[in-house]
Amino acid sequence: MKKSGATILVVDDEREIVRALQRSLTAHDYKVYTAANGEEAVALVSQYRPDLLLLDLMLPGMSGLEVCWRVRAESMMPIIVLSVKEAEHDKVEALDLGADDYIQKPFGIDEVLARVRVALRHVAQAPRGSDAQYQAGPLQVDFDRRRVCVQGQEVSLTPTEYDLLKVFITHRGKILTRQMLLKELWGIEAYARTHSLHVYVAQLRQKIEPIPERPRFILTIPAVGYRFNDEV
Amino acid sequence: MRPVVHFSSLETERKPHWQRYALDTLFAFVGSMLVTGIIFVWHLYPRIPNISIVYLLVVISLASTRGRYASILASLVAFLAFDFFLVPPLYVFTINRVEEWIALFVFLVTAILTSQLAVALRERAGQAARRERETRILYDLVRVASREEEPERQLQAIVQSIVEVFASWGVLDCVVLQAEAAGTFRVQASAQQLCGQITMSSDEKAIANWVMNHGRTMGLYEDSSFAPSSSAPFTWRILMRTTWGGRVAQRSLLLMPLHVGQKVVGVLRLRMLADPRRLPYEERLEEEDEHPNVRTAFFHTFLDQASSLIERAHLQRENMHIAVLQRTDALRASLLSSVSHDLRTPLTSIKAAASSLLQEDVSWDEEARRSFARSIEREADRLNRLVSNLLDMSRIEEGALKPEKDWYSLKMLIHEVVGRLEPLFEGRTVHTHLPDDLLMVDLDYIQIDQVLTNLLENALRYTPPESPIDIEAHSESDQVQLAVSDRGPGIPAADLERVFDKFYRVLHGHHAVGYPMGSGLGLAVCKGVVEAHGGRIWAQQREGGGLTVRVVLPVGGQERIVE
Repeated sequence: MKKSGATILVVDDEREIVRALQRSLTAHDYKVYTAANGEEAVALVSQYRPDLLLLDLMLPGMSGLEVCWRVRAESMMPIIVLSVKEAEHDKVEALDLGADDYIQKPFGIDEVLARVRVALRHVAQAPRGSDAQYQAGPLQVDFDRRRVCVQGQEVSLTPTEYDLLKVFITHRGKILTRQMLLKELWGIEAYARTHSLHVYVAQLRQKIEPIPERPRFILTIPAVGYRFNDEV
Repeated sequence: MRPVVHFSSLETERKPHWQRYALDTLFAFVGSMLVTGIIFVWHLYPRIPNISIVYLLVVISLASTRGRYASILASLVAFLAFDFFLVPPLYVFTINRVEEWIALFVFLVTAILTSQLAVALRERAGQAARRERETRILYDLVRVASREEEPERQLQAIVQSIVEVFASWGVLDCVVLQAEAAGTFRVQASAQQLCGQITMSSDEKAIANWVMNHGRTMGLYEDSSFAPSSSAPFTWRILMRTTWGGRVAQRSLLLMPLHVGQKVVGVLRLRMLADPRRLPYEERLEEEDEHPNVRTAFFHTFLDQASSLIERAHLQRENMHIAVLQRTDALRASLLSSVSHDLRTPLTSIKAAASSLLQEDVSWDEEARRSFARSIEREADRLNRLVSNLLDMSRIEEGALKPEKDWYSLKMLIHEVVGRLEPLFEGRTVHTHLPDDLLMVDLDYIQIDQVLTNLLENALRYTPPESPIDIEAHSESDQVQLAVSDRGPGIPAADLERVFDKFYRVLHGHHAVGYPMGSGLGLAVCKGVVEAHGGRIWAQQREGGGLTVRVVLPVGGQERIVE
């Protein structure tokens, strides 16, 4: 159960929340730094180069969004955003700015620990997209030959469906907002085509999910986007 | 009061027509006969064959001073008088010699032509002068209108200028009306009376409505036979009689639409002397569309100015309305998100601490357990205070907050609150300065407890961690004063009153960097509670930096109980 001792920076202006997070994360062998505002967070990031950032969006002074943007400009470290449900818009914006995941307040510590583990594991993995093969459960993808198999059966995908699957696998584990997916698939001018995105996702699910009604690969994140889940 | 600019009236005094014609006739006869007399007395005619040219002097001078009628009349009179008195045979209108015939007719034609040229010249000069005058009036109008900032006052200036400029047309009063709800009108501007004093008869309203809907001018006249449109379904009635310039004059009302594009934005009501030659009558105004008549075009410039002002005022009001709606909307959204954020923050702390305690893969030591438990307790208290504030606030707003008073020792209350909030002090000093002779106060214990809690919590929340807090109380005749002072950043003088507004924090975003946000309810609740107790609360800058919030409570009753 003991971890590698990764460094985590916790940013929140509520002392009690920081305290609880700090204790639990430390108890799980993470090294924890804390910051109570955005300016401090940015300074600590460049000072200690933590492996992961747990970031509250509602901060006094420099906003969490700004912190997210500044950190992402310099580093690819995973950023997990802590937000209340009402800040839906901020949350999506943070993900668009490059945050990897979000946790809704109020949260349980187990949930935080699980998300932290996932985020750190993906960082540890080899650079993505360079694999020639990908396998997760019944799904097998051969990128060289553009072949997709489910339970040994080859599935024929349209070019858009294949591109969509490739984007998902490349960013597996990370929440992809609709904007990000649209941009990856059709470029910058595709912002108005959200509807067709949902159609393609539905078609892709029909073809690769063992039970399309209860997807295990392509998960819907309500009001935000999708996440490709490769944990079995 | 701004200085009033007086507009020069459009046309100078004019004599009635028949007087003018009589004078013209007189001048024409006298002038021609005078010349005839001179020629006759000195026997100039046959001696100087072209002596008839002297008549041209009279004709030209009449043409350039009196106009066409006088000059033509003078030409004819000269022609006849020359023939009668000077050309032989005398005293008859017959002429014997052909050359004399020719000479006479050439004279007549020359006289008439010359007079026409002189008249045309005179008219042109008159036109130029009028244009110049009109331009100056328009310039004054624009200047006066643009000097005022509010459209209402600009409109008022225009209405006043209409009356001043067009007085010579018989305009007595001018009012701008704007349609409100169905069938009613609001007086936007009025030249003679205050807007509020103007009442409209039902006929006027009906006609104003008709004008509004059809976009055509309509008048109320004394005599129905004068009505410009016999199809109008209204009964026309005598409005009033008055003497004007020594004769009986009729008064009439003229209601004209104010157009902006195709839309009628208002109605101009002119009260004027009913003189058909001077009125900008409907017929004339409508003709004007095809043959721009200089006079009515000038009048329409005024109307256009008024129309565009009304439209502008209308747009301005609409903009303001939209802005208010948007603000209200934004306010509601920010209040909702603020309240939910405030409720969720302690919940998050509680859930994080509780779920930490429940973790099975970690064995917490005793100190950590106690810390989590303390954190849960503290945050639960905070949640409770917040909920109390929310409830109190809604009671205050509904007017349902009724203090259940009894006699309590303020000293005890202060000690209890300080004791309860001690876990939040975290090493800072909170001094209490309480005199021994502090009076007992008739108060609702729970509510005043809430007031003091809120004040102390604010002081803790918004000031640096090590800064001291002072609580002081003393009696003053029949009241007790309580003060909570800190050494924090304080509040700008301009905001000292507004901090007691509900959600002040949300609206103004004053929030010291590095300190957690409050709900923005605390001080508003304090104010509501203190006022329900018949007391006062205010904030002031503390000498040497920081903020002091003072509460004065009446002791209540007749008794004075010293502890």
